[in-house]
Amino acid sequence: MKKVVIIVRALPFNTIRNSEALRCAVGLTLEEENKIHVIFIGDGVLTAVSLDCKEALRLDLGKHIETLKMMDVELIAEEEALNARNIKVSREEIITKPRKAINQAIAEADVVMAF
Amino acid sequence: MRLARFELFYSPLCPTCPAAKEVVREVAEEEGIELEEINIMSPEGENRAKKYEIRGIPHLVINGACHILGIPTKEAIAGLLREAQKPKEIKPDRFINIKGEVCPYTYVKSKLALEEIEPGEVLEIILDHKPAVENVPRSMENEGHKVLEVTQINATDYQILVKKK
Amino acid sequence: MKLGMLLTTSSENQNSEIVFKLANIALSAGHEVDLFFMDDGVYNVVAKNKISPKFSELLAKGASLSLCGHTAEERGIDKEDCLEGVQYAGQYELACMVQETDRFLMFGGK
Repeated sequence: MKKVVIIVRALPFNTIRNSEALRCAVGLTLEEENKIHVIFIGDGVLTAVSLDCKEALRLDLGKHIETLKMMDVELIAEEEALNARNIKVSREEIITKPRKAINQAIAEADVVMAF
Repeated sequence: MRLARFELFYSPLCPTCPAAKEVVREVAEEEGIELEEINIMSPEGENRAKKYEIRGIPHLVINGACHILGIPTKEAIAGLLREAQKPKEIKPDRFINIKGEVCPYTYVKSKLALEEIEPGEVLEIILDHKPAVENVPRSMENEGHKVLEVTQINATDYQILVKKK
Repeated sequence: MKLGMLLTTSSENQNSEIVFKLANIALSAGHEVDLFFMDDGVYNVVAKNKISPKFSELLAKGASLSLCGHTAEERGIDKEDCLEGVQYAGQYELACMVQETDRFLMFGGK
């Protein structure tokens, strides 16, 4: 069993990077021996709160999130990053954790993919 | 092309069976087809005749599927040979249409559908994402399943038939 | 050791050089190398591109190279446009690579 962490750290606008991070995470679930976690940090937390803004994003991130949840992938947004931007996660699929817990999750990972 | 096989059911008491044997033997020799002549008055012959629900003789069975009762003509045998050698239509047990989906959803939805069927059952997948036409079958084979057919059904759509391991 | 690397940027980004150099050193040291290209990374293995000979060299040394067919298709890149020996694959192959390699590194960015 390999613990794989995907880090989403960029703004979701004017780029497909974050969508690709989530699409890649969906693909990684195809190998059942991979245990996947998606972590939103820094500006990446804006991805976590704007998943349904299809018009602004031009991409359907919501589909990736729903699929990831269905495949038992843990989706985490960093508390400090959310607070610094005065935003809250409204999607039930995404939980929030403090930076310390997130750092631990990254340190314990076998593979870290930072998009 | 699948190999053909003749099973000719006869009886030693049947007056028309010798003529049937003559025609069938000739065709079998010309075409290089394996011929088995089965006496329905023997215990084994009787059982095999029951399996095919044979009611009269002479009775020719081609490839276990096509039947001719009575003295066959060469033309009739040739026609049924062509019919018997067509590949059997595969009947899927589950069907999914994933047109519009792209990687990795082509894999994910196919995999989830496969999980819902029993081993040995067949899943039919319809898709239109060109890279997936090769990638999905390859991933299925990698997982140990058997890809039976990949067919282009029109200008944009493809069909994949896969048998679960 | 089996080393896996994912490259998602085109040759305008120095990631291409870094991946090439790391792969080259690993291969010379007798390790196995698997590379996967997706998003703009697929441009690195388009045969007509100036950087592709470097990746050709890696293929000749025994590295396994594959790319995400979906992102290649989005960029109008067909199998025939790519270096011979690069597998036109998908996210399934990336998932297997992450699982099967001993170390996996990602080189991405804008």
